[in-house]
Amino acid sequence: MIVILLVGAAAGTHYYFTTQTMISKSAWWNNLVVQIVIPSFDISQYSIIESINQFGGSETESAQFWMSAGMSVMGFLIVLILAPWMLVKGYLKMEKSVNPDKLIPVWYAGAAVIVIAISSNAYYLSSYLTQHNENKTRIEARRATDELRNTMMNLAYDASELMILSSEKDYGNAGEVSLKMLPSYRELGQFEISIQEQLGDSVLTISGSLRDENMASKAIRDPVTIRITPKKDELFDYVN
Amino acid sequence: MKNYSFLIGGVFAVLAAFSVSILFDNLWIGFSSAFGVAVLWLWMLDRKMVNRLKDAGNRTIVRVVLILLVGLMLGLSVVHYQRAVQQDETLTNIRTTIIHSISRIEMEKSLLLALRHYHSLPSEEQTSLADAFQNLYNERLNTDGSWTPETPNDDEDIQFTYSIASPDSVVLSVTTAFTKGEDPEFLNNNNQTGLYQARAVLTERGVQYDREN
Repeated sequence: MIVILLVGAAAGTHYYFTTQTMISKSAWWNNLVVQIVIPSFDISQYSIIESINQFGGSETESAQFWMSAGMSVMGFLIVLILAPWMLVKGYLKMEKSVNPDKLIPVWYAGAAVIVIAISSNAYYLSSYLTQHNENKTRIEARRATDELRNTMMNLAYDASELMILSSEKDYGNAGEVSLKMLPSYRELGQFEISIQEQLGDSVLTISGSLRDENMASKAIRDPVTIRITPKKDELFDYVN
Repeated sequence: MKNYSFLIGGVFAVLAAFSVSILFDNLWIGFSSAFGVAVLWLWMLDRKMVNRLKDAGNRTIVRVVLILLVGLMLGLSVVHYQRAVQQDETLTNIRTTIIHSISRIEMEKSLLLALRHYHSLPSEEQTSLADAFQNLYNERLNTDGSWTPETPNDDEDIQFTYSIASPDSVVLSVTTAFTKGEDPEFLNNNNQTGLYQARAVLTERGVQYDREN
């Protein structure tokens, strides 16, 4: 009876707080069940919210911490303590009963929680594992794209500096820039970098792309192209 | 009654184990210790109650079900933890990349423009790089040594400073208030630790941008 009251009170609190914020009333029940039978679900959500807040330089509210901790503890208590205990207790009662076919409610309650927990955990685990390789490739592609953009920016600054120094002083010919003249340029196996166009000492266009076509298809299809214009105040801009 | 005491004992043991997260202000630590205690309690459940089941078939069913449940929960917890760490790393990298790009635009580009301005002056007007820099950016140089960025930011994360090291050398520096750098132990100019910091040095031979953390 106490357990039923506790679960009822917890469910009511959860319903009130979650429907006040982001969970729709129709999704509430499913969300509550998932949060209870998968205790790591809420902690994971909290960690992500904390990371997003750190990204923006703000603190995560302590209420969020307590809410996630509370839901996770409740999940542990129901799934790993109460339900197994009820299941075993039910079996013991069944074996002691004079009528072995008699329904033992405590057994059914424990078994129901365990079945829901096993099926939910199995479903989410298999979904994550299925998506794992796809996500890994996407993350690698995104990292490679960031590196490419960073490399292109380094080249743009180097080229701007070289063209400023060359056109104003006797540091070389600003109208004949090659990639090897740029300090940050080196043969990078991952990237294909080339000079597209040079118009005297005023415009230089450099283009870079990922060599791996499979990765490029998941990140950037078009090459990153930078137009360097050392005589203008922006120095360079991204063509695409 | 004995069985109820055992149940209540398990409840309190899990609660106590999870409360470690309050000490460390980290939910994953409490989660791990609570999980460990719950598994230990399940083992004790097996010794105390499952062993008392007369039917071997029932004993096997309970054990298989509990092992499956714990295994799946453990697997999913590891996945959730890895995803949370990965997400944190991704967001940190994105933030650092944004700050890195902004500070290069604000510092390296500005110094390159100063260099261009210096070299574009007729030789009789060329006094020093520091003078050219000060003439060009007079309105952005504050008396307290701070440098007003071209595009002022509202999040107060990025602080720029300038220093005239010598007539032929100008240094612009950036320190952040919360964007993480590479080394968590690095002592920043603003006396905080582990944050992004960089500087750009202008000399007659060009601009050198160094990310310090």
